[in-house]
Amino acid sequence: MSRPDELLWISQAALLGDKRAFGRLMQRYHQRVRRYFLMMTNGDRALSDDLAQIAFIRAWQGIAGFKMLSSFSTWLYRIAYTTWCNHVASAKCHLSLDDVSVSNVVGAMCDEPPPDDDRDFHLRRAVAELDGAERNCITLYYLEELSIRDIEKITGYKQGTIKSHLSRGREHLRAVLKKYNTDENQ
Amino acid sequence: MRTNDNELKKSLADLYRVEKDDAFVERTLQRLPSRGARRLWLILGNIAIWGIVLLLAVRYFHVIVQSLADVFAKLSLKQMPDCNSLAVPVICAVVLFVAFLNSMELLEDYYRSMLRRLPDD
Repeated sequence: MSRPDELLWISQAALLGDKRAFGRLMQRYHQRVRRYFLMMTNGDRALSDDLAQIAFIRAWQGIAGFKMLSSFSTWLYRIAYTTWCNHVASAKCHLSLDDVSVSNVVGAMCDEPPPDDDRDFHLRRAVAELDGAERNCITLYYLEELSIRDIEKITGYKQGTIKSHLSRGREHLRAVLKKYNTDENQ
Repeated sequence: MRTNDNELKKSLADLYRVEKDDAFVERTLQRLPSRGARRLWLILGNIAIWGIVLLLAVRYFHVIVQSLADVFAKLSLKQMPDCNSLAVPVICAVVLFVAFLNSMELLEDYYRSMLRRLPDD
């Protein structure tokens, strides 16, 4: 449920078109939305900020239609998710989502070959290897700490599907972490 | 299991750390579209719709009055009015309803702009 001060800002932004109230909402949520896009774009900060900006503009345009049936954050994540889907759909003219993500990371990494013990590099690469749905579920569940019920509302996937995406993604990422933890212990 | 989950959460949070950035908020606020244009379209749309309503009312005044008279005459005799005599009042009602909705939207917009002018603190 949205907090009282948040409800006031939402009402002011929706009814009066008050940009300052919307600015306060952005102050509260911009880190989370930018972090969502940062993981979805595999660390491309410029692109993730652009997408976050598009998501906030769409939220501003649609805030009058926000019926408070879910929390504001869930509604905002839903907008972020559709913004990401639109971005992928436009990028898909040339490449698939997984190609885009993996090629971004691999491309960025080709300039300087990583050391074998660079845990962040390999974790980032493992994230890039997740398919779009798995990465979305992992991002929303582990990074944004949303419940499976909220993820269902945001993505429209069934709970069982979300759990299986999480399970597959988790195994993949854990394997990378386990490898580096073992290496560190040796 | 839980420890692994927490470790995964921590690793991802460290990897995709985002700092608070007021400049981002400012930039985004500047890019938010104004809603002033919508009001202009509402006013123009309102003038157009009410203009059409008035023109039709003047042009077909006798037809409307005659149709309404027929309908009320039938109803007073407890008979069902026929389709031909019902058509004109129904069309009039629909046009008036659309014009009414449009005006309500304009009024709502007007009150919003009035409220916006009130001091904030």
